[in-house]
Amino acid sequence: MTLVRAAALLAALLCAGCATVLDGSTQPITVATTPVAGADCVASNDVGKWPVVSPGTVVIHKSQSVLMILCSKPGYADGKFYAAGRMSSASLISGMVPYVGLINSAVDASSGAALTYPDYYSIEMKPLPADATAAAAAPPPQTAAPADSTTSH
Amino acid sequence: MNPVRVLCVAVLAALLAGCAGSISAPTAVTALSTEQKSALRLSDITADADAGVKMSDGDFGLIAQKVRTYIQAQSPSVFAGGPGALKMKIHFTKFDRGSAFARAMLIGLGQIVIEATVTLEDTTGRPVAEYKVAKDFAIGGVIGATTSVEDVEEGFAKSVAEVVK
Repeated sequence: MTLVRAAALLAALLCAGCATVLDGSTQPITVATTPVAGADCVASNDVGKWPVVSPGTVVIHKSQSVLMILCSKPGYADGKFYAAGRMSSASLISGMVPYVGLINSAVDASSGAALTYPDYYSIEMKPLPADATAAAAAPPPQTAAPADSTTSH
Repeated sequence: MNPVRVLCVAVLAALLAGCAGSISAPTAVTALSTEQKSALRLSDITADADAGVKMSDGDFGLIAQKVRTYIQAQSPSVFAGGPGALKMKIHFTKFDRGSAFARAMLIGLGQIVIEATVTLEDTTGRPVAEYKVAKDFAIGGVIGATTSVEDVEEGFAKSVAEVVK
């Protein structure tokens, strides 16, 4: 029995966070925009923000939170997409291993490796009406500066 | 193991797994009339929550996106816009992610609960219709442990889409 316990402990140490080891805590995602390319996109969750120009691939850090992708391009309304992570297969399998499953799950959850976001995102960019585009491109109207803010003496 | 027994367990598991994504009928506080439903146009879907309900902007955006997807699937022209387009507001009053571990241990523990008030407002902000939508999940065992709040959100979004059906 002592030998079995020792083997289980060794396995726990070796396999701790199987999804962290197999899948890692980062993940590459590909962002494309339709019908235009060249949009400035930012993928973000509660652990960081990662810019990418569409179509392009960026490596993000996985997390328990929702991943938001926001794309912008002059002449188009901002395109937004939200994605939740799904339990990775490596994490599901490792969580079922007797004795070490709880350790694996705890390590994977803390590293974010337990979840995996979808790999590919196609975000629709809708063209703005012509008048809205012109308004956005025009210089801002001149306003009087507050008396005590930017006036140099 | 007897193959028939294995098959029965698999079918039961499949049936129970569907519960998280099933539709829960909305309760009308002020219902849309048949005429209003037939001419319905939506301009936007927004979501917020009561103080004390733990939800992020990402949660709001993800659920609004799911609701929009289901509404578009059942009536593709509803987001075509127009002067009388209404705004859908989803106000969450309860959002409990539950506990996968507790669900795995015993049926009824660690349940997932989502409750919200869905309001349709005209362009002046006047409420035109109001519904209560609630969705929960409390199945135990392996199915309870592997079902997440995102699965229940699917059922909630389908239920909200029923409001404009």
